[in-house]
Amino acid sequence: MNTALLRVEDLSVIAPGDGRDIAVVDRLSFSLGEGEILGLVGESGSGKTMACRALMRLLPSPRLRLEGTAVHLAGHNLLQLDDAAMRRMRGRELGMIFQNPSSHLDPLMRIGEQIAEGIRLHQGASRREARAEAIEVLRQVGIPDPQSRVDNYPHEFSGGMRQRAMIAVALGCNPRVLIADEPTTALDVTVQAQILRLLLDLRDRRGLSMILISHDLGVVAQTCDSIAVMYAGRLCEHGSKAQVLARPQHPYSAGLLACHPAAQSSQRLMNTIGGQPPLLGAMPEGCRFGPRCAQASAVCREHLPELRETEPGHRLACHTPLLVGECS
Amino acid sequence: MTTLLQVNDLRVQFSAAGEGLFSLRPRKVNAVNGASLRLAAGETLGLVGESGCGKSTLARAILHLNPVAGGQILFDGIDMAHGSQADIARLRHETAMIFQDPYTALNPRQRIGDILAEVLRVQRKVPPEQVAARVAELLELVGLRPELAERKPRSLSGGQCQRVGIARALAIEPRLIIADECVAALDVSIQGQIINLLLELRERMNLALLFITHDLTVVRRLCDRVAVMYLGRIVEEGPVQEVFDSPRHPYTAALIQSIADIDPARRLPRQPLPGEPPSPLQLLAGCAFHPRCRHAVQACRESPPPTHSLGLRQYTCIHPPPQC
Repeated sequence: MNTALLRVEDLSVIAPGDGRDIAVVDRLSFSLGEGEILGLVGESGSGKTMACRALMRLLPSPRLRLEGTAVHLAGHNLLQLDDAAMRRMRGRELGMIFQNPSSHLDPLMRIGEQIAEGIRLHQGASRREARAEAIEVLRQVGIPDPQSRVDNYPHEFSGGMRQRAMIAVALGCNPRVLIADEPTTALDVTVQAQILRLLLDLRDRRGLSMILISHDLGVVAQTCDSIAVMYAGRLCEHGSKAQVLARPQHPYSAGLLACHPAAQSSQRLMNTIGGQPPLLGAMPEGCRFGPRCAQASAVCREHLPELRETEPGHRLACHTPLLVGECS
Repeated sequence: MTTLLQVNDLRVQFSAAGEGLFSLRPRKVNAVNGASLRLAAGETLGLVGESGCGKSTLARAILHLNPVAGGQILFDGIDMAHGSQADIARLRHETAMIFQDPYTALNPRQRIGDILAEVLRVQRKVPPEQVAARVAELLELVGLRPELAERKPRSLSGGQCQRVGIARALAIEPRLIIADECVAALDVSIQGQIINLLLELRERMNLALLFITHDLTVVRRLCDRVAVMYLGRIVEEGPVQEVFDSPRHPYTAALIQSIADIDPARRLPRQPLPGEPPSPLQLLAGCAFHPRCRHAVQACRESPPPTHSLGLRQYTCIHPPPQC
């Protein structure tokens, strides 16, 4: 798990605004080891999904601009590849699964063909080989009776099975890194537990590395090795699961943990973080979390804190970090 | 505590697309299939279950928004399922609902003030000249600035819209509020603000709250009692602490084990509950949960499970496991 498989350096997504550009994702850097699961957490609008779309170079609007030093994966710098080369990387090196499987599977195409398409494209397999491989992948993701299910259409699958099918489509191309964007948010708790268990098994069996995007710290705590917390487009804290969950140093990470309904607390009322995340067009000066932060001082209002390493493997962007053992 | 709402053996059916040649053979969806629950004034009951189990249908039937196929809904001792027009009007006058998606629950063309004023006028809660003052009061009650009355929903955030939804429910001065997944669409930090608001209002106004959710961690924090629903039926019901500490129905136990806890030491089960809920179109003989149940015996496949009482708790299972 020590060798970095994916290394992201200063990746930004810029939206041109009136007069000045807005960084929707601001100089994101992190690395992902082999077989590592990284949890990317934050509230809606914090730029989690945008960051992963930027990794795939699939930005939702042509007005958005990608900037950055490098995204190293499998000996390539993804930012310097031409479109044809990037297309070969997608699927084969970097797979992605989404929150809502119904809207990301083709309703008019049999499940098996959707899996086989990628296998034929990336591995040059024949139709027959691809079909056999598709059945095998369906078996691996836990679809019962894959021989007959391979010819079903998506509407014949239940919600949980569709999510399994989408994972199968991504796995068919045999990627090294799987980006899972809120893969269980649309599912019921018992089905969520099944899918999370499946992702963990796939990591153990195939050595797959994963970036798991989630707004639910519970999901992240149960699956990930390391956690990166994003707020308003910036990484505020990144460390091992144990460090971030047990000893959060950024006031926002600590606040998120305390807000979780499962957080241990003697009082009846829930902890909250006052205020709301900033709007894209109206980012505050200095630290973007400053206006909601109980710890904020004068320096927070003036200077944007840069991400720095506080101890080996733990990075933090805060002028006034919480001391170890202290929790807001 | 006096019982405000009592639901006895409630059934709700919808007709579905037919079967067979030219779809001539009619089919029924049994959305709610003999559900019973009760709620006292000032009490919060959490209703949990997976999607499609009939939580929302049950709630809507209580407020007379769905046709009822059988059973009783006693509100203040009057059976609303078979009530007269006057009874229904009274029910509308004393109950309110908060919806999941705060944006679609508000009319985008109406200003916030008008949305609230409409309720006050229709239900004749205050004399016409006092409507504006009452609107400002309601907004303040839910923690919004009165100036927001001039705005339209699209210029508000999700959390603010949900507060307006709560203000609209409070405008009725209800004795019972049904909140249907009212925090599911909100971010964690905002979720806490809305839950705290509901807790405060409940204490202050002695509200009865039926809180529908799929998130068990929220139920644990907010509710006094919890009812677990599976395929149109309440399978276990009782005080939150007791149910969470020692669930008696295997489905309740599986739900609790499936919670993704923020404490990494409390791992997800190695073998999570298999399968997904069956279709309410074809109800199974015996216990509806038996195809997914690890403890199922032959009797579970044949006869409907009896309801047992255990202290303040009730559960419906033929063969409850010794300790889940």
